[in-house]
Amino acid sequence: MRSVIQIVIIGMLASLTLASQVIMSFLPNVELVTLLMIIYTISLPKGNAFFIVITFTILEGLIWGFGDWVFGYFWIWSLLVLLTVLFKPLIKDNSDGWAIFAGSWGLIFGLLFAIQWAVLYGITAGYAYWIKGLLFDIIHMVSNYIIVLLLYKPISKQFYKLYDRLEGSYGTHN
Amino acid sequence: MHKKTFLKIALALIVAIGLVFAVKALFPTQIEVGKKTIQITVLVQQDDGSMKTIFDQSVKTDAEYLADLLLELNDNSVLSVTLAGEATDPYGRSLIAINNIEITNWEAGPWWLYNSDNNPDCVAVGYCSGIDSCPVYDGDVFVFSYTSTY
Repeated sequence: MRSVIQIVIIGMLASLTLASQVIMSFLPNVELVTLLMIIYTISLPKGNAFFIVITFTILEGLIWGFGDWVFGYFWIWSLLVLLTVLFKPLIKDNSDGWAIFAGSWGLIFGLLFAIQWAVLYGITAGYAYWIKGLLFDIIHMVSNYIIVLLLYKPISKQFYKLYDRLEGSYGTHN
Repeated sequence: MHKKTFLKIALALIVAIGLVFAVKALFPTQIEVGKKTIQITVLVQQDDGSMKTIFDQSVKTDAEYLADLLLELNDNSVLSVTLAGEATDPYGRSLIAINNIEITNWEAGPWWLYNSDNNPDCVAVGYCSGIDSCPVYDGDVFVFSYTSTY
């Protein structure tokens, strides 16, 4: 059972992620969500990042309207959390490594949505969706790379510090 | 910013530019040029919810994109069309009025929506993209609807 403080943290971080997405939505495919999800996955107790993904996706649906893309957000952002867990022992705390990881994620993001599109509407539709979004995937790749390269260290450092302080005050472990 | 970080960013941008050229070369946009015949239907939702046709014509055009076609119709006084924004905006221009029927409430609508059952790009992805990124092909049928239901 998750403690009250953990549930509050999940809600707060999901809202923070949503706010970052909405603020930057005027720039197509430039986002802080990937960086934040990586930091949450690395820093928070096991499983919490998945709950943040679920809460964030529901909030996104409330802001932008529910569609098939919401289902995509559930599994695609969850996949990022899973991949972060898998790559964590390899990359450790290396900002270059996480920048390449985030850039690669940005490049395949459209492909993952295209897979869902292909399942729902047929292979041709999925292929067309992927090709049509390729230039945006490249923007996503390079922006993710630069954002994580520049911000991973300072934000994760502050995040660890604040989270440690919070643990000291309330004890957030299960 | 450290010189090393700057170099890494510059390298990432070079890789991105290279990828853009690769994508453009591998998947060129096939725009038809020359005379095309496009069927345009304009529907306006009435107070009782029914749709009234205010325009239904085939037009000849050389336009490459839907926005060009709409502006051409406006210039030729076939339809009065008002667009907002710039073609260079991330999502291109928005259609805000046809024949002086203008979107007045962006929150609740009615809005100007458009669709095509036979434009290859619209059919492939299940919806038509922005008017500045929606190519028009010979024989396309576009339906513009002023409606708050979508």
